Amino acid sequence: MRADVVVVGAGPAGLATAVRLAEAGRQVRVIARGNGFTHWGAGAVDALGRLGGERVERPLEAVGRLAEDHPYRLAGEAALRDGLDWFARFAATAGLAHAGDPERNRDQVTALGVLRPTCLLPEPAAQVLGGRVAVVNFEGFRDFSPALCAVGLRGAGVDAVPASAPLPPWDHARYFSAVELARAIDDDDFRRRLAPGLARAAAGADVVVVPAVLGVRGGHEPWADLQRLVGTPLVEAATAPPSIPGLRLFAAYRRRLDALGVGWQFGFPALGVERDGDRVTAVRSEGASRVVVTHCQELVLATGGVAGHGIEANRDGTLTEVVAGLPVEGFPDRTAFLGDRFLGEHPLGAAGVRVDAELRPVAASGDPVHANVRCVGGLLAGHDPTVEGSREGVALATATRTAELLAPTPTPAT
Amino acid sequence: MLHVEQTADRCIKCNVCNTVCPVSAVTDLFPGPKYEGPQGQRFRAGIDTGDSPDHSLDYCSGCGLCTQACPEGVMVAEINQVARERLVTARGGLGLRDKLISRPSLMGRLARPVAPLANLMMAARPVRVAVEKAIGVHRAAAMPRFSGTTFRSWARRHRQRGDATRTVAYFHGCAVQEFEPEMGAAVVRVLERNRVRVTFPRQACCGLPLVSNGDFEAGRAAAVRLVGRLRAAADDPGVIVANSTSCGMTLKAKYRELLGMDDAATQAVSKAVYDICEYLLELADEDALDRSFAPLRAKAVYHPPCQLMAHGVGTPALDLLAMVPGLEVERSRAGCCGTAGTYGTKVEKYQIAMDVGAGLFEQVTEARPDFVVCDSETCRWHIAKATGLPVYHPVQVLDRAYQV
Repeated sequence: MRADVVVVGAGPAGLATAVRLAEAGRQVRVIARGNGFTHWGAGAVDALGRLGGERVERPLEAVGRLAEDHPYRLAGEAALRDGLDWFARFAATAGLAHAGDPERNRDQVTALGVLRPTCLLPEPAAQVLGGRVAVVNFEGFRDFSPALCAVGLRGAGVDAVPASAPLPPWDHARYFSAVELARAIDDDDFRRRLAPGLARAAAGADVVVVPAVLGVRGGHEPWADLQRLVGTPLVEAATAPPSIPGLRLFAAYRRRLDALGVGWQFGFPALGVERDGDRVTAVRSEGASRVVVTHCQELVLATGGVAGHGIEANRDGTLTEVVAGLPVEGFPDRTAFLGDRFLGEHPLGAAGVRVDAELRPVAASGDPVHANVRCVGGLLAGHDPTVEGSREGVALATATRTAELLAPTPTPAT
Repeated sequence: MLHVEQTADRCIKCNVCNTVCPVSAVTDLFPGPKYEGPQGQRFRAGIDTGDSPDHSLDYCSGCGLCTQACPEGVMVAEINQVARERLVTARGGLGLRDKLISRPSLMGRLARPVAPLANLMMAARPVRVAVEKAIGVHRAAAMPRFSGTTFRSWARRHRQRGDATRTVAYFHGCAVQEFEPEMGAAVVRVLERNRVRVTFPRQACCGLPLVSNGDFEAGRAAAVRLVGRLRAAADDPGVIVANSTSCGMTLKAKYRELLGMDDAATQAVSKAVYDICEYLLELADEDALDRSFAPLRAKAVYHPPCQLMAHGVGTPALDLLAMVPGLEVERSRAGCCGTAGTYGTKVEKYQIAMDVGAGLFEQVTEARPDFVVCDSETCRWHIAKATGLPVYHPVQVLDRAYQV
């Protein structure tokens, strides 16, 4: 197998990098161990939500206060701005318009009734909560508690009350998750039968919060249609995985990859690389019976941190980058991996590969280890995407910078 | 290596597998791979004695999309396959219908002397209704056409070209031997055009239909027999090409994963097997592929079968088809066409298979292609029946582009 550029990983960073590189004219192949973070995330684009324990209101402005080895400082503010712009255009073209800009953060409602700071919000989640808010669940959906959400919102100063809307008769009466419900809501007729009950549950409310299940096959049309039928603004709250907004985005990325002729293979992890001097010449990935060798000019690692399996934590406290064996700073022993509180800060979350200004992995000396390897997204050292709320922003900024660096050299007009 | 059942411990309950399952998307009879696989696995203590309440297991089509989507390495579909075998054993083995449809070469051999008559009969609605009532093969399910001649009789008459620079053994499998000898001839022509000599080692059914229906004992007997016959070819010429993506997948991985065959002979054969398009693309990578394809002014929808994606080599056919000038190819967005081997032929599962394939059929209707391209034979039959369009193997398209 052969490709100009191999991208390993299919989370927010890998998908964006693959698309941007293909749009720039490179021939790209994606190898991933499975579906990625889009399926687990809140379905918004975080740029910078928290810094030094404080909520960030103006992400672009706050970027200047980050440490010099933070991915944003390396990729540059322009790459972040351009990455967010590109994403907004890409998503809108796919029918998944987003609202927001990097000048100031917005609130995303979660299933716990928390208003989390984020940068770009899918339109169905973008309406600002005000006046009287009804938090409505669809009867029988177990992954969303309107009471829990409403209590959280009241704590945040929102006048919220819980309610429940009946589901019309359908095929999944026995048990269903967000996916089955979202697929049902894709159907025009199902929405027509759903709307009256939802409208009754929402009576008297100025805004209605519902779990993020309003259609999954295409764009935001089911949300817009249901909102019209109910006659009140509907706001999708982020729920437990699988993330329906993330699935919409994942599907849009896959359609774009297909249209650009980017080959992909999921379910088989990259195992290693082949080298010639300081260059990587091929990626070795698992195959059904043999190692599959994909020769490449450039390699982009978008494999994520420890949670994404880009980095493995060893029993002796050391850390291993799993594909190319890149240097990763470890810990004296494994008790140092984790903090005291489950939902608190964990040193392991910030572990990653150090890179230079061209996103090439560097040795302790600061010199690049490989001339043609770039690291993007959660794999990078210098940030904790979960704690600081920067996952998608870092993915887009580093994808953008990588696409700039690896764009084919324009041939002079003859 | 972990046994497939042990991989259940890696499950983090993220539900990613449930988002890609094409079966649970269309029917409540199957609750989804997560519930059936890593979760159900903990409650299977009684399965060997028939005490398991787990009857939905049978509705897993085995497409394997869940395993490919799982970011944690849980072999979801394989866990279900292993559990199904125990369920089938506890029930006293396969019923008559599943015994018959698991033996395509037997059916082909029986029908061969009277192939035209057999084809006429299988096209007659009263016959199909009777077959459905008698054994439970759905009256509308796609059936292959029996062939009056076998592929091997063609191969015996075939004169090799003298300009070969390398050699491969060809595993044609039951479908080419009994139903589609012209498909095998196209494989041989395309290989020879590229100066590859083709040998035809003695072979037999790979056993996949038996394994996927749940008869591992008969499946293992078929596997052991086939490994014995292909063992020498694994050393010389060292490459065994297969054009059936499901048989190829079985030889590469399922003997090891499902039947626990890890002996040296099985390993050697598994490692020697290449999907035909995988092999041709490797030739292209070495600049050894003849790219002088004539233009084909046509539009095609290419559907990569679920079993091809289980090879871990991506979609080599797309790269090959891109070399044919004039041919416009749109990639299918569907993960599975629905039929998943013999699954879609069963009376209780036919509608599920059609519903699973609906997205693909819709895409084909909208794209209005001249033909559809797909690597797997059962998928080709199913898609052709459902769309009314000709459906070719990618190598048949290359063969045509060489001949124009």
